[in-house]
Amino acid sequence: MWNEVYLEKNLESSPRAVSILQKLNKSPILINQFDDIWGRSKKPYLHKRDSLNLFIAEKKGQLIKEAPAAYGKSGEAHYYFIHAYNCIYECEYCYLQGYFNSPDIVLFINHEEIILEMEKALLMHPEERVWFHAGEFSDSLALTHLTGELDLYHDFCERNPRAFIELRTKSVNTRELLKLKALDNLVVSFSLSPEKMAKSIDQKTPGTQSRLKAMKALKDAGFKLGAHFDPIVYEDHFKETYQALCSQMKELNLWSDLEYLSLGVVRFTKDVYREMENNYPDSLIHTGPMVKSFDGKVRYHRPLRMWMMSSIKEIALNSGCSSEAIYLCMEEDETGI
Amino acid sequence: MNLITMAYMGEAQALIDGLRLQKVSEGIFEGDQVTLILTGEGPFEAAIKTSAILGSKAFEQIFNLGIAGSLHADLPKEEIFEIRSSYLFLNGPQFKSFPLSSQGVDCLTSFKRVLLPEEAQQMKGVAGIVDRELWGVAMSAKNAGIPLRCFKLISDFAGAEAICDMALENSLEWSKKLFQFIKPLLENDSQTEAPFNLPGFYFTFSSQHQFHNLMDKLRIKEDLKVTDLPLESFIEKSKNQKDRTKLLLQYLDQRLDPVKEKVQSRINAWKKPLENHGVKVDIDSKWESPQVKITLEAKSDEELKQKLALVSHFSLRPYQDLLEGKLDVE
Repeated sequence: MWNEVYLEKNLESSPRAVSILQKLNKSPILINQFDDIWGRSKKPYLHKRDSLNLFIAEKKGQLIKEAPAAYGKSGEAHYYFIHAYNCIYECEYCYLQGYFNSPDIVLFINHEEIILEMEKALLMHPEERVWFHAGEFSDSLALTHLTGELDLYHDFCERNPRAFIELRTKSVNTRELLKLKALDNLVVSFSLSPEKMAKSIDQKTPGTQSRLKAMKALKDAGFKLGAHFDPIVYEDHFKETYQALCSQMKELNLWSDLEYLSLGVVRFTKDVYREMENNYPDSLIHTGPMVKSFDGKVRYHRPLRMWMMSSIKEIALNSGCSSEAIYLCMEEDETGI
Repeated sequence: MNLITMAYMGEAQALIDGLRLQKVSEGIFEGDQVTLILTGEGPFEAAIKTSAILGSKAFEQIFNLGIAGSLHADLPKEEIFEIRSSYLFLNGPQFKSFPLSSQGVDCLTSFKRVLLPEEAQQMKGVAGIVDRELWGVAMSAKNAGIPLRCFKLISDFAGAEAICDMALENSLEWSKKLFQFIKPLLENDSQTEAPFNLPGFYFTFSSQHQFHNLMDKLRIKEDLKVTDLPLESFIEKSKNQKDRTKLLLQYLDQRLDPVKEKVQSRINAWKKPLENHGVKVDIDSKWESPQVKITLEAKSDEELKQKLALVSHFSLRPYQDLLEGKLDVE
């Protein structure tokens, strides 16, 4: 899977780095800092298919960041923490394809320092629940069998009931997670699309059926779950396909106690849209009526995206999702749908 | 006309003979369809020589050919690889890179010869092949806006072998291999695409572009082909070829986005009571903003009162409902 593995010299004796390298069974190229190599050249995104490098590094600078407005449910503090750059999957709409100069994966292993920052953030909001989201720059479960950091974050949640961690994923790699005790403040959220659509645009990811099965297994083990219908991509029969997805979630009893369901219609910054056009010229996403919208992002025209969002919201509500659980992701909040 | 750039005479000799190129000046050889230049070694040298020739003649395509070192054991010697992306290495990888092809192996251009295994080790995560010229040629090609393809014959394992002696011994054989490889590509390149024609329809440059764009999207969406289109029905509807084209494009547009027509017809119906009486209703052409501009003209008090009365009964609600996605309500 990995073309080359790079390791920062100062981590050579780090037990976490040693453990990762043992699992990879590959000798690393030693470097001073990951960004001496990573991102120094503009490496085309699709080169990840056959020359993906792995960097094991220490995250410096900001270890957690405040999340943008409408990131999670409103009225609470939201942060995301950065434990990795880039992802093994290849979703056609992924903003990472226009975000970094390289698709190579960086695993940051100084989790203790990240957790210290999270503790500081908790102190800044002494009375509130504070959310920490993983998965902003990488899938938060896909490599956990390799990286082995889940127990640290689990321990942080156990010690801090006010802190809520969200692990965002499309992965079904739940083995490490299922070894841990379920906690009310550790939420695993899955991005879901109708089966056929996911097959078409979520390349190299587990299919929707597998993701639903993984959700069911976690729910049965007592874990709190969230779901993201994001991105919603137009197809002529989208109501039927989302109805089928929501009905399946009902059959698996996934609606009850669902922490949240976010809805977001496909959207791009101008740069990512251009990257996507180059990388995936035959993507179904191109067939929708995209316009430059109110905030400069490329989206469907407003009547279409609002119609899709309200239709899918109604389908979810009729299938058993509670109205309090639904929030609109990165969309105008004032629409009142 | 194609341009071939190579570093040395040794690499180029079989191409010069095989393509019957004549020397026109130092390091420049010309034939009917091909000009070949020898750039010498190093990215700056390659960039300068390539830019100079691109400034003096018009070329449709550039090929960079030559020998290069392998950085990976799975790229065997004497095999030829197309280059996918070109990178530069100077005390580490440099930012600017040039994508050349959707497939192939990546190539790193080094400022100096790679003689030590440690040097090769630092490079192998960036690319599979290392050369001395490509990045300079790629920069010149990019500046001139001319497509570049590159093929490298693996001569050695970088940092592990004495390339100079090997190059002397094998240059003619490698040159022949490169010639045999490039010959069919140069022949294919001279074939031109058939012009677009749809009998019974008239296309301007922009309507042709629009047609291809819509057909591309419909091919992705529903595997629609030109042969599936009900072309006869448009021919029956109008005798004018331009009108038929317009109808055809409308049909494709509607098939791609059925919601658009629904929204547009509701907007038309909403505006109608005012517009029938000469009161203009302007909305955001992208349907993003709820703002509406109403313009009226009057020649008399009576006309003004009549139009103001119409405006006072006019509601923005139906338009706002559309913007909020209420499309299921009739």
